[in-house]
Order: sequence, then C-alpha cells, then structure tokens
Amino acid sequence: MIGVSVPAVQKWRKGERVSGENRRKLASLVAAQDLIASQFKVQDIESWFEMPILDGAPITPIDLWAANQSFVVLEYASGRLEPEAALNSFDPTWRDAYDTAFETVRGEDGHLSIRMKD
Amino acid sequence: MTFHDLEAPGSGKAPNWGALYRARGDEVSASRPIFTGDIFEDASCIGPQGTVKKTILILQHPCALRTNGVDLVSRLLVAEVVASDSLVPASEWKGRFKQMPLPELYAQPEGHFVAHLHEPQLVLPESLRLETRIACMSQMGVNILLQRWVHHNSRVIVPTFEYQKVTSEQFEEADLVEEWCDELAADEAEILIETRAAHDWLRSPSNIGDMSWQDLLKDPQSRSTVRVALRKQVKERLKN
Repeated sequence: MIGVSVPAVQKWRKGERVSGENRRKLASLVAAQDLIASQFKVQDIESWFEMPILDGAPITPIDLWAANQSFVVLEYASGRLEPEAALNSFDPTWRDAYDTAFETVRGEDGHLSIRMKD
Repeated sequence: MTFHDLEAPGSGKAPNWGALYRARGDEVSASRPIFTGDIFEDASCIGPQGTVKKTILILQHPCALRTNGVDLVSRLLVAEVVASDSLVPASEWKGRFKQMPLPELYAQPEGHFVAHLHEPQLVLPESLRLETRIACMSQMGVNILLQRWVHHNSRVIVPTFEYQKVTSEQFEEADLVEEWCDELAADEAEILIETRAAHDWLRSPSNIGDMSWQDLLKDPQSRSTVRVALRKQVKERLKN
C-alpha cells in the first residue's frame, strides 16, 4: 500500500530503521485508518480495506490507496462517493476488464475451483 | 463478452518486473513454506539415468503440493529455469507460450531468465533445500504463472483475477506460517517443528462458531481476524 516490499516490512518488524519518506507514508495510512474507523463507523478497518468495493470487480480500497487515490478512499468511506464512481476513478475500463466467462465454486475438498459459467 | 490475453506484470508502457516476486536472493525467508512459483537452485531432477541438478520453478497449485496441508507430495512437478539472451518485453507476454519469463530474477537489470514450461521435470522434495531457494513469487507472480502453465497445457486462458480467488487463502496461510516461524524458530530444525505447530494452531477451534482459524481464512472478511489472533498466540508463546 505504501510502495515497499514485503521483506522491507519484515526488516522493520525486526528493528531496522524506517526511512523518513516511508515513515511519512505509514503515518498517513494510519491516520486515514483512524479517521475512517472513528468518523465513518467502520468496525474492522483492516477487513474494510481488503473487501472489494463492488461485487464482480476485485478492486479494494487497498488498490485505490496503492494507486495514490487516498482522496477517493476517504470519499468512498464517507459515503459521498458511490462504489461505481470510486471504481470509475480508479479504472474507467473496470467493467470490461473484469467481465469473465468463469466463476469460482467451492469443491468437495473444501477449496475453490474455477469453472465456466452456465 | 471481453476476451482476455495472457498477462504481464504492470502495463505495456510501464512493466513492473519486480512485482512478480515476493522476495529474491537474501530477502527469501527460510521460514516461508514451499509454494507455487518458488525457484530453487541445485534441485535433483529425476532423469533416465539418475538425478540431474537443475535450477527449477515449482509449477503446481498450492493445494496440489501437499498430502495433508503440511508434508510435500513424493514428487513435485517443476520447470527448468535457464538464462535468457534478453529481456522478454511486456508486449511479447501475450505469446511465448512455452515460457514463463523471469525478468531480473537476481534483482539485477541485466539478469533475465525463463522457465521452460514445455520441459516439465519431477523433483524429490527432499532435494529442495531452504538455503538454495533463490526467489518466491508474489501473489501476482503466482497468478501469472498459473495462467501461463494452464494455457500451455490446455489452450485455455483464464484471467489472473480468477486465479487470485483460488490461491489467496493458501497464500495468506503461507504468509501466516512464515510470520509464526520467523518469530518462533531459530534454525531449520525449529522451522520444521514450528511449521507443524502453526498448522496445528490454524486447525484448532477459533472463537467464532465451530470454525477453525483455517476455515476463517476462506472468507476474505475474516482474514484480518485470523492475523490478529495468530499474532496474539505468537506473543503468548514468546512470553513463555
């Protein structure tokens, strides 16, 4: 979400120094999460960021934030921006990009499989 | 209906080769369970006259790698990884059906490799030593690999966002096991022990209905709950 690799985050957890720029990005993300959770009554903020904005398109607030669309994230969280408008801001071609002949279904082994739609 | 092509990381104008990889070189953690897209040097490939050491890439879906969620199957299907004369540009990823391009595999601009999908090999899992793993793929890398591998074998193109749906819970589980072992395992012997302990915990009852923590990973809405609970469990273990 802030443009650093997973190994970099792992190193920070082990005590390695965070650069000033990355510290600023982290603070911005934490502040946004606090704002959304407190002002817009989102209960599980981590989960909220991971959930698709609209069924049928796998675009989440994480994707918007990573694409430097933090304002769109906040507007969507506040309810001032409808889900479709938020997706249009991110990628105007989203309807075509995620139009598919496939669907996923949970198999008898409990795991998801891909199959053609009827 | 939209028709999909084989995909490349990033866009044609701005490819993002690094996005294929979760870790390369000394960033690769020994704690991470072996997974689809992992690249190993010196793997023993079974040949007609015994075994031959090759650099390989694991091809199979995460669910096909293990017998019981923990132990690897007796033979793993892999592709040989070889040096490429040049970078495969993003525009050519729609073709090159027999290859999985591996640009900048060693995190250097001039070091490009490909995996030969048309020459699959079998390896013994015991030859996949953690110290010879040189790269792990990101979620995007795994999705692109599966797309290319399935197309090579069946001429069917499935968009990578569909592969995301059928690999994300396994990828999340691998992340969690890696985090558990990073904190609790001091060496390779302890990684084996703690990997089993992490799986035992994941299969134990959660605090939600009669679901295990592993069951909760099936729902993207619940994954953050599992992460919080795992981190709490790890902290408890560190205190004791």
